[in-house]
Order: sequence, then structure tokens, then C-alpha cells
Amino acid sequence: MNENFNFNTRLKRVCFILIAIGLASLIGGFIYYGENAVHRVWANLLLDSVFFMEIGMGAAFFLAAVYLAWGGWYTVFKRVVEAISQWMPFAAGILFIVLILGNSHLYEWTHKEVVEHDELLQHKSVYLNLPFFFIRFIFFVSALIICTILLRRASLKEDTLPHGDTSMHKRSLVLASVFVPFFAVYILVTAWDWLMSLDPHWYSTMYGWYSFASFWVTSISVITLFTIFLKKAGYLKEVNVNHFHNLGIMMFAFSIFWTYVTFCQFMLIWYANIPEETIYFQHRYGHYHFLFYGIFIMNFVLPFLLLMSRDAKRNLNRLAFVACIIIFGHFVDFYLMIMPASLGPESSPPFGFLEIGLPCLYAGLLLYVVFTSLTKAKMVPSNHPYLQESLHNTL
Amino acid sequence: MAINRSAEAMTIFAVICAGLFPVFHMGRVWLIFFNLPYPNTRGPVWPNFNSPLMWDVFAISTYFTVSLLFWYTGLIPDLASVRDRAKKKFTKFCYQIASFGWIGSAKHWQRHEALSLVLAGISTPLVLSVHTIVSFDFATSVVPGWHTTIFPPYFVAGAIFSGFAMVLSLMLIARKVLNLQQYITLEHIESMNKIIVVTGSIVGCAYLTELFTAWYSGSIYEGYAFANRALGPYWWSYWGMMTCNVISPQLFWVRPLRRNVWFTFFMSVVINIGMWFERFVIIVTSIHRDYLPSAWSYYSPTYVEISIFLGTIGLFLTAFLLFSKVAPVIAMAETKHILKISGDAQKAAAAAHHSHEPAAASFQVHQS
Amino acid sequence: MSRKFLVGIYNDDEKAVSAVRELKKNHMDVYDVISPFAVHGMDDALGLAESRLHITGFIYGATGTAIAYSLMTWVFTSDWPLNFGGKPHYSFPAFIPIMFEFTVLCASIGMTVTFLLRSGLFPGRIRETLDDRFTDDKFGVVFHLHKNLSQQEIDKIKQMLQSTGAEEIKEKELAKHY
Repeated sequence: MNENFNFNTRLKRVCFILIAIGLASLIGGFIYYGENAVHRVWANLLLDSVFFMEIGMGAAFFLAAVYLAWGGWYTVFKRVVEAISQWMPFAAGILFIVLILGNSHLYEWTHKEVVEHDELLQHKSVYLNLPFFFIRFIFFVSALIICTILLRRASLKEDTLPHGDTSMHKRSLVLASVFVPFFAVYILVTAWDWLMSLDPHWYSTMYGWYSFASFWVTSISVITLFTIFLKKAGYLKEVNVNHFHNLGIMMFAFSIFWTYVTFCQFMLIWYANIPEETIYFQHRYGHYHFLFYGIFIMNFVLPFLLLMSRDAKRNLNRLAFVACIIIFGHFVDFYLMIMPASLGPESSPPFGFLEIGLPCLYAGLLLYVVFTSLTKAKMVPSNHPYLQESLHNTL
Repeated sequence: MAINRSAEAMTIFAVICAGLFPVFHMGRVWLIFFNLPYPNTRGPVWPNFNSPLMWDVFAISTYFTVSLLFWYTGLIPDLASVRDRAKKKFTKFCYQIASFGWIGSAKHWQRHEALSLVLAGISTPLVLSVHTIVSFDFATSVVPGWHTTIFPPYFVAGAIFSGFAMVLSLMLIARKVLNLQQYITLEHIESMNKIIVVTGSIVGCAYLTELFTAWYSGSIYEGYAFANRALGPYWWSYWGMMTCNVISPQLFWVRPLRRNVWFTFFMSVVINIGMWFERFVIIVTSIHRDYLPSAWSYYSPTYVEISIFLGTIGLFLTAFLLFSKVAPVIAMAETKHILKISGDAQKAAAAAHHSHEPAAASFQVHQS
Repeated sequence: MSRKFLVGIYNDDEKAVSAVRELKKNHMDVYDVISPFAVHGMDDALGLAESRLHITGFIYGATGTAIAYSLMTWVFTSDWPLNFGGKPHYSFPAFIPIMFEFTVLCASIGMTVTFLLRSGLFPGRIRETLDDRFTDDKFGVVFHLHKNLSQQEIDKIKQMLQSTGAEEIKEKELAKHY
């Protein structure tokens, strides 16, 4: 129960190879597209930074939400969730740099000469201006980073306390109850800022919850994938099929939730047929229509059919397969949010070495950070008050 | 466990009450069956399946049917239990009919469990769909203040929010009157209050999102609709809604208040009022200043509308009281199961304290 | 045709489960177990096959989806095309809410009716109970005393029931097979 994770050289090599591929394709991208299509590189950077950061953010929210709900079932793999949440500060740093350097390539509203001739953008400039944009970023993200780091510290300290001491658990509860309200506003504001303002004329009140639904189910799938990997690698002996069943239920349920939110947003805009709103889907329908249908297949039809039965949720290979589909499907979902807006409605879906290589960079970094955090603590928080509940979790 | 049986009953009665309004609204109540898609001699003219109002017909009737099935299949074993305790011949006869000949055979229990699991599983998305489709009635239109994409999840959160408040109001009374303190504990109440804080805050986020987007969209109609809500002639309903739904539930962050029965009861009533204001705000403020200035007016209800509204409250309470008179308000079989698996220690402690009757016996109090 | 049953009455569900396991191990033909709630592990102890009710639910639901989809498509594309908001006659997004509702309706009505029919439950069905306490807090392990059973075998059953902790053993004759 007290074994530590061994981040061996083979895994390290995998991380470094991924990072090397990614860096090479990034540099290659700047050289190859730098002349006339540098937008494409920045759009890819934004896509990967946001997508991978939200995975970490989802894991942090998972911790906070389960604390507040007094959930005990996940305790045996809590350290995995924690490790993924530790990736979030790094990813936030990368995203911050990308936004600082690339905002003028990404956001139309940063160009003074465009705003001057655009009545709507002038109206919005009270909100959509660079200083306020970064103030919002720093305010919400740093608050969440502090909570995440403190939650991790409390969890590590709990291991060293005498058995039965719940002081750290109580502190975590307080931290979680600070985290969640910040997070609730964070998902709205950052979705408007980072993603919705790519189409600066367009608006949808659902947008924040829509992007939340997308990254939240991705996070759960990433957690599942890591847990399955560690289980198969011989760690986490206490994690049994019931825990995976629970994760499978969450993947299933939140895939349906994503479908619900996405369908509602689409259907209402389609039905009311107001040009200012339908333009968003018009852009995503043209050259991107196969992806537009594709995300419904990958994010709804396949998870729904493959995870419907009880046995499927208790089969690790099936679960890992569906988790990969979901992660990829939601990557495409974020791709659809960003690419048609950044590259213009006439573009065809960009696909080349950059789109394949760049996610490798982020995946490599994520793996490196997560595995490093895993080595720093016992795999199972032996002093967590709900450990027994988790060990005897049945479903 | 302790609360779901009566919550289900409230659902059914509330749907009956809610269903009355669209029926009255159609004008010719006796032609209500025109809504059903059956091959008819009028063409056949089919109902417009593309209309959100038609979706509502399906949603509400499905919701009613499934809730009824779920509730009644859950009741069958408990009615059988009452039947076997009944002392009067006529009472026994009635419960015999109502309990469908249930005896509690192992195979029946197995099927009953399977059925309950699936019905519960499909009830959850069904609840979402009902409130979603109600929100579609508004949001598919182009009326400022109605057409907004956040409506579906926001209506669902609002429904959970007000539903919990309504359940709390009635259950706190039932708890007191029927002496159910041991079955509906302070922990249950506290958990419900936590959900009220969460859903209240979600609803609050939705209000602010709407407000922000109305400004952000730069659409003059949207902007006006929301400015008019907050500062126009119906400002009182908007601020009433904000106070009751968003601000006052935040008091439940304080633990002693969450665990105070009287305060919880007071808050549950406040929230019900707030949610009534919310519907009033959405419906009335949006159409009293829409695209057609000749239709601008100040709505005030007539005595007929007020009486219908009061009548539905009366219908709801009557139905609920009748239910608590004739049927067990707590899911007995499930509670016995829980007590058995998790409450052995407490049972022993209770027995040591003062010799307690077995769990089932005390349910007969309101049967005699 | 009257039926005779032998019932061992237990006051605890776990006792009843372990008794059934014990009896089954000795190749006793347990007819049924009657309990006030669904006892965890009893299906397994009795060796009951898993209920196929959820499969019927899936089939009913899929039928519902198919009916709703095909009716709406037929009505709006061929029987009575209707222009609403200038949208195409075949507007799939607008069909989804009714498809969903009808799926759920068919699945739940179908499953409930199947459950009631398969279990022989309907309003007015009156089954004689073996003991009224089985809907309160007692658990009954039931044996069918058919004619071929010798007195010796019956005694053995009684003895087994006693040894597994039955607090009471009784015989009851019902007018009808339940």
C-alpha cells in the first residue's frame, strides 16, 4: 500500500521523445508557416494550451467537488487525480505566455484599426481590452492555482499526521469550498475570453457551460486512463473494478451531459434562426461539417453504446478504449471552437505535421509532470479519513 | 431514502396542477385530444411535431406517466405491508386491490429491483428533458429575454432548486406532524440545504450570464429587455427574485443555519416565492415590452387567474394530504433494508436505550 | 387444488441467506424465500438467473425511438408537409425531443407491464399469504410439500431449518398455488 511510483527511464524516454517531436514541429511550424500562415501556429498553440490546461483544471475541480460532496469512493486513486491537478499551474503558465505573445494573431479585437471601424467591438471594448483580459486571467487562474497547491500540500501533510487526525481534511474542505465558487465564475469568464471572443461578434449564454462540459468529461477520461495505466503497471493494488465502474458511470453520464448542452445550444440557435447567432454554426458547418458530425459520434454515440452495459464499465480495456475516444473527440470539439474562428470561415480544416506534433509536446509535458508528482507521494493516502470507505467500495 | 417517496408523490401532484394551466390556455378544453397524434378524420391533420408546445405535450405526459409508474411500483410492497397490518375488513380489501397481490417472493423482488433501477435511471434524464423542453417553449422564440441558449440547464437547476425547497417545506411539516424525526434526520435536511446552496448559486450564475451577455451582445433589444427587467415597471419582481433565489440561500453556507429546522423551513418558503418571481419575471417582463409597441401594457392578474392559482395550491395540498393519509410517506421496504445493513449498531443502541419496536411497526401510526 | 407448504421463519435477513446457502449445499429444494425487502445476496444464494427485464426495456425503448422517428419523418416529408419558419421538411433537430420522450415512455410502460405480467401482479389479484409477518420484519424460507415427499424427508427439512436458526417452523395449506 505504501509503495511509491517509480518514474523509470523508459517512461522518461517516452516523455522526452514526445516533447522533442513537439518542439521540432513547433519550430518547424514557425519556419514553414511563419511567412504567411502564422495564424495557424498560434491557433494550434492556443488550442493545445487551453485543452491541456483544462484537463488539469478538471482534475482540480474533481478533487474539490468530491471533498465538498463528502465522497469517499475515490480515495484509493486520489493521488492520481492530485498529480494531474499539479499539471495545471504549468499549463496555465504556458497558456499565459501564448496569450501574451500571440494575442494579436488570435483575437480580432486586439487590433485598434479594426475596432475603430466596428461599432460592436467599440461597444465591447470596455470588456474586451488587453489589460482587463489579463487581469481576469491572473485573478481567476491564480486563485485556483493557489487552492490547488494548498489542497495538494494538505493532502501530503495528512500522510505524516498521526492516524485519525482529521485537521488536514477539514482544511481541505475549506479550501474546496473556496475553490468551487471561483471555479464556477472561472469557467464562464475564461470561456468567453479565450474561446468565445475568437468570434468577437458572436455570443451564446450557454458557451461557458458548454466548454466546461467538454473539458470535464475529458478530465475524467484522463483520470481513468492514468488509473488504468498505473493499475496495469502493477501499482494501485487497492483499486478494484468497482472504482473503475464508478469512473465509467461518470464518463457515461457526462458524455450525455455534454451532448445535452451541445444539442441545446445548437438547436436553440438553429430554431430561432437569427443571423447574428447562426453564423457560428455556419462557419463550423461549411468545410468542417464532417468534424461537426464526427464529434457527436465520438462524444455521444460511441461512449453511449460502448459504456451502456454494466459489464462494459467493469472491463478495463473497454474503458481505456472509450476514454481514448472521448479525449480525442473533445480535442476535436475544442479544435472546432478555435480553428474556424482563427483561420476564417473559408479555411479548410488544418491538418498537417503541426496538428499532430504539437499535441505531442503537451502530452509529453503532462506525462512528465504527472509522473513526477506521483513519485513525490505515497500512491495511496494512507491517512485519509475515507480510506476504508474507498477500500470497501462496492457497486 | 427517507424523502424520495413523498418527493415522488409531490412530483405527480405538481404535474397534475401544472398540466391544468396549458389545458385551460387552449381555450376549448374539450378538444384537448386534438393534441394526440392519431389517424383522424380531419385530413388527417397531424399535430405540429416541430412545435415546442407539442414537445411539451409529450414531455409532460411522459413525465407524468413515468413518475406514476415509478412511484406506484415502489409503493406496491409497502401497500402490501399495510394490507397485512390492516385490522378492518374493508380497509384490508382496499389495500388488497391496491397492492396487486404482492407477497414478497424472491423472484418478484429481483425483478422489482431491476425495474426500479432502470426506471430511476431513465427518470433522471427525463427530469432534465421536461424542464429543458419547458425552457424550449421560451427559448426557441425570438423574444428578447426568452431567446437565450442558457435556458435549458438554467431551468433544470431552477427546478431542482425550487423542487428541493418545496419538498423541504412539506416534509418539515410532515416530519413534525407524523413524528418522523428518526427517519428524516438533521443530516438529511443539511444535505438538502447544501444542494439548495449549489443550485441557487448555479441559478445565480445563469442570471448574471444572461445579464452580461445581454450587454455583451450589443443587441439593443436584448439590452433593453434586461435593463427593463431590473429598472422598469416590474423592478420589484426582478429584485424579489434576486433576493430570494440568489442572495438569501447563501446564508446556508453557515453550518448552524443549515441545521436549524425553523430557519430551513423559513428559507424553503422564501425560495418558493423567489422561484415564482423568476417565472413571473421571465414571462411577464419579456412580453409586456416586446417588438409590438401596441401590445405594451402593464399586466395585473384578474380574480379568475388568482383563483385558479390558489385553486392549484389547494389541489396540490389536498392531494398530498390524502396521500399521506392512505399511503406510507416513507419508502418502508427501502428503509428497512438501509436500517438493516447500516443501522445494526444504532438499532442495538436504541434497543438498549428504550425497548423499541421493530422498524416497520411504528409506521402504522397513521394507518389506524 | 390445495397446496401444502412448509415455512421456516427467520428474524434476520443474513440468517435467512446463510440458511438458504446451507440448505442448497445439502441439495434441498428451496421453493421460495419471502422477505419484506430485497435481500442482498439472496438471488445468488437461491441460484436465480439474472433478470432479463432490462433487456426488454432496451428493446421497448428502441422500438419507441423507431416509431417516433418514422412517424414524424413520414408525416412531415410525405403525408402532410408543413412549412415552419422556412425550415426543411425533414428537420431532424426538431424531432429529437419527441424521439427522446417517446423512447422513455415506451421503455418504462413496457418494462412495468412486463414486470407485472411476469410476476402475476394486477389490481384485484389476491394471493393468500403464508404469514402476514413476511411484509413486516420476518423472512420465510418456503418448501413445497408435494405428495412424493416422505415423512422422513419432511422431518429432515424441519431439522435443517431448525439447525440454521429458524425461530419458528410452520406448515400452511393454501387453496391455490401462489
